[in-house]
Amino acid sequence: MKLALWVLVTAIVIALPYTGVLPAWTPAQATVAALTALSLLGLNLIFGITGMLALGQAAFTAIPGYAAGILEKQGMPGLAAIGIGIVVAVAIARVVAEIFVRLPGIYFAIGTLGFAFVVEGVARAFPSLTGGASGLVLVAPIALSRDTWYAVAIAFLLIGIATFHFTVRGRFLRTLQLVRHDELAAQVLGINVARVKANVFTIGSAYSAVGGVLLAYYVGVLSPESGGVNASLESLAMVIIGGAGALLGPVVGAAGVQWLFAVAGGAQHYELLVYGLGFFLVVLFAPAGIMGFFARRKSQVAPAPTVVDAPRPANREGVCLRVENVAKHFGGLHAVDGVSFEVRFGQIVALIGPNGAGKSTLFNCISGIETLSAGRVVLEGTDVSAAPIHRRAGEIGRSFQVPRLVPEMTTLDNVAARLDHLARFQGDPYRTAHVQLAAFGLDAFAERPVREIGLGFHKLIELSRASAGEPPLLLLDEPAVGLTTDEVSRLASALQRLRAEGAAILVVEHNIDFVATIADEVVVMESGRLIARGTPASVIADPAVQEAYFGALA
Amino acid sequence: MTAVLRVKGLEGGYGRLTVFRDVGFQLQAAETIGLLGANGAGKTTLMKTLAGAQPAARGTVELAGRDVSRLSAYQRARGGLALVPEGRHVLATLSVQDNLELTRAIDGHRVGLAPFEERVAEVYALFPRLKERAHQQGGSLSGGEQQMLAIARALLLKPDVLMLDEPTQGLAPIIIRSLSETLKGLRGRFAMIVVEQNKAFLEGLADRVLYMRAGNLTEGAQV
Amino acid sequence: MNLFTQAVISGLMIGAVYAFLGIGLVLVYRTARILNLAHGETFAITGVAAALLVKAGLPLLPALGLSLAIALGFALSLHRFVLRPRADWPAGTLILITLGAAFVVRGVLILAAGTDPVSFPALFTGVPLRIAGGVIPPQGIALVVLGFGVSAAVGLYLSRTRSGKQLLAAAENPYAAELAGVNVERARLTAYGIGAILGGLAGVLLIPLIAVDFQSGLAMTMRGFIAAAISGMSPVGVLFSGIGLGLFESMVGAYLGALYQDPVMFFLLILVALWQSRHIRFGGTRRA
Repeated sequence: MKLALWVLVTAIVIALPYTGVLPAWTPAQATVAALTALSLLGLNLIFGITGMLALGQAAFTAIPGYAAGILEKQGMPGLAAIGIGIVVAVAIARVVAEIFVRLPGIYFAIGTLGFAFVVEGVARAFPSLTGGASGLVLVAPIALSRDTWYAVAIAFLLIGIATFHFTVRGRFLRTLQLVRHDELAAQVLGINVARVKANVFTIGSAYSAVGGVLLAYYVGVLSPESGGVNASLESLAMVIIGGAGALLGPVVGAAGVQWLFAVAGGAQHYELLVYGLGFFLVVLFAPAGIMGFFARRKSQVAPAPTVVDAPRPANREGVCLRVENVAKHFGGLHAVDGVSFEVRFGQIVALIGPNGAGKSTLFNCISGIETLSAGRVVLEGTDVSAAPIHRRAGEIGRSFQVPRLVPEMTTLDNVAARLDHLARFQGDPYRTAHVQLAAFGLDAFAERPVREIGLGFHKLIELSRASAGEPPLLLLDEPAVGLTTDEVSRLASALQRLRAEGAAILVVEHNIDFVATIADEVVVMESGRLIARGTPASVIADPAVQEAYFGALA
Repeated sequence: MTAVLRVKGLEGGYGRLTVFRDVGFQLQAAETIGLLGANGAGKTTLMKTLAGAQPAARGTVELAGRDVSRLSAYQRARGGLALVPEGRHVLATLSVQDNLELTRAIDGHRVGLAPFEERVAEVYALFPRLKERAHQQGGSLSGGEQQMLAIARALLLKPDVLMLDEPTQGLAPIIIRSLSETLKGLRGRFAMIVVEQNKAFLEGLADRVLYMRAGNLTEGAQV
Repeated sequence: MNLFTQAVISGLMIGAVYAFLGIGLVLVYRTARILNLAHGETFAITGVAAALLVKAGLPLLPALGLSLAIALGFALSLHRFVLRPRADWPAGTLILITLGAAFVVRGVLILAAGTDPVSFPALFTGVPLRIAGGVIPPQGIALVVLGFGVSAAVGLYLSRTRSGKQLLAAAENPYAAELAGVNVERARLTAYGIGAILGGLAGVLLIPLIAVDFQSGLAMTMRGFIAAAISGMSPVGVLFSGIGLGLFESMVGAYLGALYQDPVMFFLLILVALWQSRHIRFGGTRRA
């Protein structure tokens, strides 16, 4: 039923230019709008969904046209030239991405902005190649009538929308949302953030390139401005006005703005101001754009399945984590100074010590957030000392002192995201996430966005996420801080259950009662070194520990 | 004795979320009270609202007879209502001395204030560890030392009311012990509110205890 | 006429401008925690406004004063009425808002002055100085001298004065600073104000030598950012990276041609990016 409705609406929209109902909305206008929208699908993926500030995207719409035109002049046949032009644009996009994606987002923003400056400048500077300021004339290899062009444009746009709709959902969408919201959490969950961003930029630029080259050949001339900063900003404005992140946002944005200018006519100099005001006002007052008034964020949730016991992982015995003479120096400061211990499967080890003892640094060394100055971290028999964060994420479930959840995603999606990137996980992320939440008593929250859930529950949600998929090692950073006595005992029960299931658990904590209740072994750090190790009772009674940590009056 | 802090009908929260409502209590000039409550009950939000770091939806706060409800946080700090925040919030890239010198902002805003050098000497006498580290960066101090710095900073504001939000959080037991001694030593100098989850910490420190439960404040027994 | 000397002279002049813009950008970044992409617009606004006012018949000094005031008003309003009420919005969105503001300014400027570059008379006139085979007009000398002087003054202000330290505290942790009695809002406004005045001053001094158009704002912001990035967001270091950037650009222009300046700038940005990434192993990213 719903599909039929969509088909009807689409048919009406497509037919609209021929009916004359909307003033100034001719097939020519509609063709331009459709091809613009196609390019903007790419920018929407890059910026609207993944949150990357691409400020020079118009460059990638212009490059294929210029490349094709230049190649044609050298004698290459039109269609081949266009194909190569698109490939060239995408390749350059990949290179630009690789350079900037590892740095904070602002480098990417300025980098892409600078790129647009350069493209426009180069296009102007070499008139013999590019036609300079007057532009490059492009003649379509196959002469098409007005109506055929319109059909081609609509066809490509529909294909673009369809591919977008069917790829940007579920696991991929969750990944992008995580990358957008919290890069460190994303890495800890196993996402290679740099690679994801580079891929997204490349895919998005492919849309830009196809839409851009078709538009260039339709219009018949390509000017330097079309690849420059103003055009890029205008593209961004259209995506934002239409609705950043919404599937149809670019279509609404392109068509709407296009039509507005067509109807209003008017001096060219007003164009920039209108775009600018649209951009500015929408971001300030209606950040979800026009589509924001229609869409309601719904969770990607399947109905709750009957609870099924997760298969128990085999061979959970022996040593899980071995820390061998690990050291981490920051200049002259020896934060961690030759620490060795191990955590076995089915064992809870508590790491305690005064502040500044190096506990957090050691944790970061184990999870890969810090590189080692010396020593080794061995996980399940493999030396992971040089592995980046996301590569270790399969083996390590990590929780943070301050929970890192994505507020806009539902609890279920937050937990499912962990399973998305767990290589050895074979099942259905939703089903397992449901089971996981139920085990922690959180299933009532499954379909609510995390931002609507009280902070008091976030730690438990994060713990359920960290332990989802039953990683061999759990690293928990002060899980009991800020919890009431009731919540602490609930936490203790959860950890005991996980231990019974065979996990190796390493906990940093200050709450000695909690530690005494759940820990099998306690390891004490002070000034970067291990000063004691043993059962809770023996460690607490140890005079060295007493002096350093508990105070003389025990 | 007139109350140095009088709170009436206070309501506050984040945006549309009301965290506490109809909160009222009084504090005498040399009294120390404890505030206990579960996570999410609204203790920290209440402290922030009292300090002016968050706007109140309703209600009044009077400090030594003056209505400070409309004043922003820095004005209340200068006026004698000091908060040692949860998590301490020491300025990591400034030295200990520079951290303390920030409070010079009150010079000229209060009558009968001793010169800064005297005030700071007093505080260093109380916390000799800080004096040793006077030129060290705030970020390089241990948790216990940062707590001392945060308290020292608040003391330099010569407060009539000192509020401490979960001062023992994240500290090792040995430090908690010394912190307890320090605060007991400060009793009586001014009014104090100590927010804690650790009830044992309040023993011997607080004259009476208030309880925060789901956004409502109730009186408890004498401690 | 010594090409090298002339290039050095131009480099110092434009470098001073980049230093001005870089300092403002760093100050606002550190106090407000966002990158203000509308920062360079103070340069463009001052320039275009002054050009129009002078053309309309206003004497130079009042025109410059009024233009600086307009630029200052723009920057302070942006902070006070647009950004401050939204302080808890995500950083990415705030950067986008500043971009929107820059966009609007661009739109206004193109309406006001068209697409052609505009200019106005120099503040310091007189006989150009001949030195080592190069020529530098009095305005240029003022620019370089003020460039060093003002930058040094800002550095001293931040590290030595109470108000400056309060600004740095407000930059690092506004909550803590507020609780210590610091008027954080005033510190932020001061940062914006200094940034705006520096940007406007750069315009006042440079534009008589090199004309401005509606696009100059973003171009300046970009270069200010590159200078700031090279210096690692240090308010003092950015003086040197700004001058260095100016010299580099000038050399490129002199020996390769003006058309190559933008591509080379971009190339420099790539180098900076690669350098900053050097510690990152494959697959990782650097936390901001």
